[in-house]
Amino acid sequence: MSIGIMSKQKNGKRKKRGSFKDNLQLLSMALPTILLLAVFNYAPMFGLVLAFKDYKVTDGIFGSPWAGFKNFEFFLKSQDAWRITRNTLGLNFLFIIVGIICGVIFALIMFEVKRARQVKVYQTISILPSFLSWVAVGYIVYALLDPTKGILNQIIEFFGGKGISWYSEPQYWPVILLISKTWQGVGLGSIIYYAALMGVDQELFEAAEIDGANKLQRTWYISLPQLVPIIIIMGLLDVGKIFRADFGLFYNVTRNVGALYPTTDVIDTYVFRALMNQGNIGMSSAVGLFQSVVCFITLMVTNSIVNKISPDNALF
Amino acid sequence: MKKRKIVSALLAGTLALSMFSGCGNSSNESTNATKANTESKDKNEGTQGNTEKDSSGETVTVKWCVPVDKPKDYDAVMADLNEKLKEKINVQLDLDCIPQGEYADRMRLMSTGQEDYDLCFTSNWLNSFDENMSRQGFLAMDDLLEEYGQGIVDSMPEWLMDVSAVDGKHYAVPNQQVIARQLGVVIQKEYADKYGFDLTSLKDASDLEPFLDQIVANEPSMYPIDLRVQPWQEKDYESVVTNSVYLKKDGDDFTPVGYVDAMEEYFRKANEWYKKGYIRQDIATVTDNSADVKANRYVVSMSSYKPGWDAEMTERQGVEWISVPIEGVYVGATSGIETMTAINVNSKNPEAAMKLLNLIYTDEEIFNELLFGLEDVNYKKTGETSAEVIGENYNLAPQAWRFGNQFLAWTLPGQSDDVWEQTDKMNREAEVSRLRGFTFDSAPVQAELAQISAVVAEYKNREFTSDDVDAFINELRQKMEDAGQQKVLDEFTKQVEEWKSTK
Repeated sequence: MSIGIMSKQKNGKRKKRGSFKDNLQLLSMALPTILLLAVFNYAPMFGLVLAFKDYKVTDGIFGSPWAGFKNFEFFLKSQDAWRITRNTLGLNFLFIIVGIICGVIFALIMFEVKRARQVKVYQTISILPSFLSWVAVGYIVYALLDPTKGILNQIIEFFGGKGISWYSEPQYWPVILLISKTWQGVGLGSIIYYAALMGVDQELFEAAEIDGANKLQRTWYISLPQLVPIIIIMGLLDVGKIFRADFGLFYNVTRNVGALYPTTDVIDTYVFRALMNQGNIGMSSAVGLFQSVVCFITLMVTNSIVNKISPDNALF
Repeated sequence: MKKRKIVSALLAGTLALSMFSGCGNSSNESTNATKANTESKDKNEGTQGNTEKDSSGETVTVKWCVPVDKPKDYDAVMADLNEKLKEKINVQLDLDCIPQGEYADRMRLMSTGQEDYDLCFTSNWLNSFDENMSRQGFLAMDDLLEEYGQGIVDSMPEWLMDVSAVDGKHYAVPNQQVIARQLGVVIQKEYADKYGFDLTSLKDASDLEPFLDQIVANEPSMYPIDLRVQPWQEKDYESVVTNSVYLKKDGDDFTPVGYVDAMEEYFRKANEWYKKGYIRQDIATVTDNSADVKANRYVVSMSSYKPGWDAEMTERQGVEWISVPIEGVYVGATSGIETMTAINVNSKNPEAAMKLLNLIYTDEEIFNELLFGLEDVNYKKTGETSAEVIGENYNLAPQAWRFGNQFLAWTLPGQSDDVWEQTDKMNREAEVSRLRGFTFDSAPVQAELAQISAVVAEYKNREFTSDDVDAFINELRQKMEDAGQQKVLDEFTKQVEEWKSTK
């Protein structure tokens, strides 16, 4: 990003054509991403029209008869609409906050480790879970929590406690999901903060040290304020996705057990369950569109709030 | 400058897009075509040579999607089969074997994506017929049946074809197999002998209890029963609309009852059985028990009964099984919908598809080659109408019910020669539902049905594990009401009234 700004400043007075040529290298590097976005994010947008259609194979996507807002009824009128909206927003909010806090703390700790080799080892280990699919994580959690053979219950019983049948007690699951999600994501999440810390001017720290600041003070008064812009950007990006749940997490880690739905059922799992038998793509598209619109609104609102408080840190 | 960038990005985007979509289509088509071509060409060119030119008209390939695992020796058998098909009806078969677990999703994509396939397996439990009808995915086949499909119509009882009729037109052909529904159990013979289980037919599923008690007491490593049906619901009610509308079997009115009312007795029994240990205790978290089934870890499995079931199980499972029916044979309003074959509305060659289907229903040689493969390579004849599969080889015989007219299939070792006559007799003598001929149009209550299916999934298996079954039933009843149970029942009553007045 900073390179782009620099080149813009340099080229300000040159001819227009030149600036394009100068940026050609950078543009070509961005090309794969642009293509990917075009193919997977922009092209399918035409399909949104399906949300308002009564789809018939013979007529195709654009030829099918219009259905108005009928496809939206199923979701909005559902008795579970409140429950799944609450779960989706609440759990995602929890994930965002805890994810950021843990990521920042982890990055700060890493930053204090001065030996490059050790940093590499710690980071590799912490990133490893990100490469596991949720299906595998689901089985790991199951091995821990299985009511009869699970490790956790065996430990509880070893100390004389009574085993908990985890898969029928919904109240524990926000915490279990939070731990799984954080465990899986913290390594990757901290990298960006770590990179930002590396970019902080060393002179600041040296000056603080000479002034007699201890480690904690240096972290609190130098490292953290330097991280604030990036924290806000990451937070904003996550808020933009707050109405979309991580289907893999909520479906596999809970093993899709009905008894846990009161605290683990989110929009994506509900839609999957309700529409899997019917395969009604009109209704599925309607829910997808609804999620996108809500995400768009939440993103705009948070961004404008950030804009009011500290305009430098806003996304746009 | 900014504008220019946007324009160029857009251009690049569209270019890439057209490139991608172009690639996608052509590569798909070419792989399909080459696949079919190489299969047929290899053989044709070698052996037939000139005849290819002589045959009148173009040979078309019919793509048939079925939910089976691709068998060994597939290429060799298909090449030989296609040679015969070409001779008989000038049609080539491209049998697309899709594992059952993927089948529903694959078919949904193919159908909604307007892809080109010709025949497919459809039912009420896999690649749903109703779902396909709601997006008009199947072709009305009455004219084709009349012209090319008389063999199909002649092979089945009159009431059977009705099941795929919507507004007087037929959209699928029911597979000819066991249609009448009778519950039954299969038991591993070893254990039945060991504990002296009485093999005469059961009056009620509860009669199994003494036997199951013995299994619980003496065989701790086994799961006593795999309960795949709801016997105490089926005893009294037939299911008209999945999870939402049920009708009492005896009686003459058409007053429907809802899900919870029909299931209540089953819920109580299931809860009792779970507490007694008949049902595996981790059922709430078991998402797929097929590995345990394969490993013969269940002593008993309850499902729908058919003559020759024991032989089929023994053949598939590798240990000896015996089957016992539970009394009461019934043909429901939509019996037969469980296994059907339909023609894609986007099929390029519906005539060829119907010709092929007709041949499958009438030609013993073709049908059995499809099931058993090549003689002396894949199977040995053991009698006029019986055969034995050689080793681990091409073998679709246990899957015959997914294909067409099972009554033409050669019998397997252990099956009596008259198994198909028995089955046909069972079909024709069963009590037929008074609702036969009625099909429910689910379009007006799609939203309610979606919610109901979400509720049923939420409470799945909790009838077993719930500590207080009364509380469970009340909670579920409330949830179903909120999901729109009554609205679906009202819609059903309305449609039945209309149906009665036109009858």
